[in-house]
Amino acid sequence: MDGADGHSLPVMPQAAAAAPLLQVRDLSVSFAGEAGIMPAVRGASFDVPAGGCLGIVGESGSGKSVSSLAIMGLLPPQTARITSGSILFQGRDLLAMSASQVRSLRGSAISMIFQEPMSSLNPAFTIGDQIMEAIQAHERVSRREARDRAIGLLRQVRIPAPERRFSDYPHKLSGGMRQRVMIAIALACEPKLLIADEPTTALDVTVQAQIVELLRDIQQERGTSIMLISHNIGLIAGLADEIVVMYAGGVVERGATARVIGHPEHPYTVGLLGAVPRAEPGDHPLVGIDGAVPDLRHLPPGCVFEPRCPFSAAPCRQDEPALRSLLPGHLAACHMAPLDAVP
Amino acid sequence: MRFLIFFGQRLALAVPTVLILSVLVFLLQRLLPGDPALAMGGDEIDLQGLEEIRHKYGLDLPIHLQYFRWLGSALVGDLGISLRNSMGVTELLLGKLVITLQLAFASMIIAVVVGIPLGVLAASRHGTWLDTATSAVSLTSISIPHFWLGILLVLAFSVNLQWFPSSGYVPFWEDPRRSAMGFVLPSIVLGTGIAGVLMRHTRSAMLQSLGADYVRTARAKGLSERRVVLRHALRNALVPVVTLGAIEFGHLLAGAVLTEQIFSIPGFGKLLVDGVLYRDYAVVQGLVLVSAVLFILVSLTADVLYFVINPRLRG
Ligand SMILES: Nc1ncnc2c1ncn2[C@@H]1O[C@H](COP(=O)(O)OP(=O)(O)OP(=O)(O)O)[C@@H](O)[C@H]1O
Ligand SMILES: [Mg+2]
Repeated sequence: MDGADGHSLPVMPQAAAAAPLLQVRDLSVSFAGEAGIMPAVRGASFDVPAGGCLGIVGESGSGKSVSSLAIMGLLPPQTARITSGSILFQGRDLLAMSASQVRSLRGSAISMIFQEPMSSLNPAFTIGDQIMEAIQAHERVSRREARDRAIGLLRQVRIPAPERRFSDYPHKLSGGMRQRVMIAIALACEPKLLIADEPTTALDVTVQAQIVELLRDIQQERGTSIMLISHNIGLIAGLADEIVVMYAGGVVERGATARVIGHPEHPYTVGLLGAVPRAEPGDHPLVGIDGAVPDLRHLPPGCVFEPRCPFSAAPCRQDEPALRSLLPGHLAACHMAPLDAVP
Repeated sequence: MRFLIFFGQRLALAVPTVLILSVLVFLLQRLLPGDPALAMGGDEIDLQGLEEIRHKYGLDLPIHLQYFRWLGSALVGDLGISLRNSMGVTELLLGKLVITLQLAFASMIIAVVVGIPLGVLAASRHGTWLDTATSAVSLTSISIPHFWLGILLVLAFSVNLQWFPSSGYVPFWEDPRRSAMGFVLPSIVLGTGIAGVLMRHTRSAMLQSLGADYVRTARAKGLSERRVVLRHALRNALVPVVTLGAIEFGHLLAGAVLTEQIFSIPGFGKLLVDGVLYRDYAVVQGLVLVSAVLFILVSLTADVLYFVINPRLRG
């Protein structure tokens, strides 16, 4: 076993050069419901590198959206509780700020686009109106100037005939076009960080590629940091510098994209990649992942992935494995890692 | 263009509705027991006198001819002559319409001004004591009987405090202040129940739109909560509420029988009661027909409004 201590957070290679834009530390979020308290995010830590792209993968229900809503300060106040952690944005803890301070960052320094392009725009207002509103929420500009900027944004997200589209209502646009409008809204005030929560899940495959392309251009041309969430590790691999793999509300593996994909160290990641762990004899074939995500209200005592894990051994049923460093910048929460060593 | 098609369709539906209704009204009156000629002529009249009256008012014609005669003149604005006081029914109705319209508008203003803000408040404070209290108020105001509320208000504000008159109508042009004062209590009586209905529907429509994805987007833009609620959520929640409000307003235009009785307001309600009591066919028919046409006009207006506030229909 690797001797590195997993409790302190080892510095990632890129992060050594510049401080990360966003540092999430030990974030835990639970929901109170009739059926009891449900921990949706359990001690998650990750960084979004300045000017870079962090990818977050995980199956449905692994806590990806809840984590991003926590960053945005948009968790439903009646039911959600942030029970631990900090979210440092440019060194300041968002969780310690007042509601109005967070609101002034929301939509200006940090923006988000959502999983549901069809329903995320208000049907009662024109798209131009909705983009202008995003600008005027944070900047004192004349209507004329806001209008010109809105049309410019529509052009940047490659919507054809932006002047005409400006006065259209959302129902006239396709899903892909609506997601572009959402991106235009998100970019309205030149955010430092763009959180894209499964921006392509609801779209056709060809449109998906175009949206990913657009996000890449935004990152490169504007230097916007992107936190890209998806359950599709392939989609993330094309864009992300680093990958965080979430399972049942916790981070089970993180590291540089090439490393995590080329050399996954958590059996869950291996399963996500849908591949045989190593092309060597004696491997455990694993195509897709059998079983289902556990009920977060009744988690098993040991490793949460143990019931589905082909590598499972005795310690896995007793202690929950902590995230520990296997190589500098590559961490996994697995008793059996490195998986090469497993017979 | 789309609007014209939309409006044309609604109008095309309205015409047969009015026609069917006119037949029903006409028949219903004839099927009721009692002879209007007898009612008019009094006890002393002989057979010949009755015949003369019947002939004068066309009551001796076959029933379908009576109907077409009535409908034909109704179309050119002549609703016949009141059997009771020999006045033209059209003039009679116009005079009362002014009164009923004032009462309906005043009641509707109260209902909207109270009901919609409270509905918004309840929804934006969902699950708090304020929400519970507002819902209780709404339920009470819906179920409270008009006559009971009317008597209560008269006791409190006319008899004890003497702020408002307990009854009587003063035309606006005679004394605007006294005229307005006279409408306060009856409008509260009529507006209360409607306010409750609007409150309840606004609340549930708001709860729905506050949970919508576009409201999350509005919050993600960093808009103030006030703007999120009043612009993004309310705008969409109003779509169903407008239709409902129009229906309630349409009902008010048919006249409020009880409330007009309590406060001695000579509007459609009182006219209807008198008309039925004295078997004044022409008045009752005219009244029901006019109310129906007014109701349809109001729903057409509501359709137009619905079209305006709902861009999805506009294509
Ligand atoms: N508002 C809420 N109230 C109660 N539970 C919630 C709420 N939002 C999310 N959850 C629960 O939190 C858990 C994590 O949800 P989350 O939406 O973060 O998953 P996800 O990783 O984004 O999945 P998906 O790929 O389906 O978007 C789920 O079990 C979900 O049921
Ligand atoms: Mg999600």
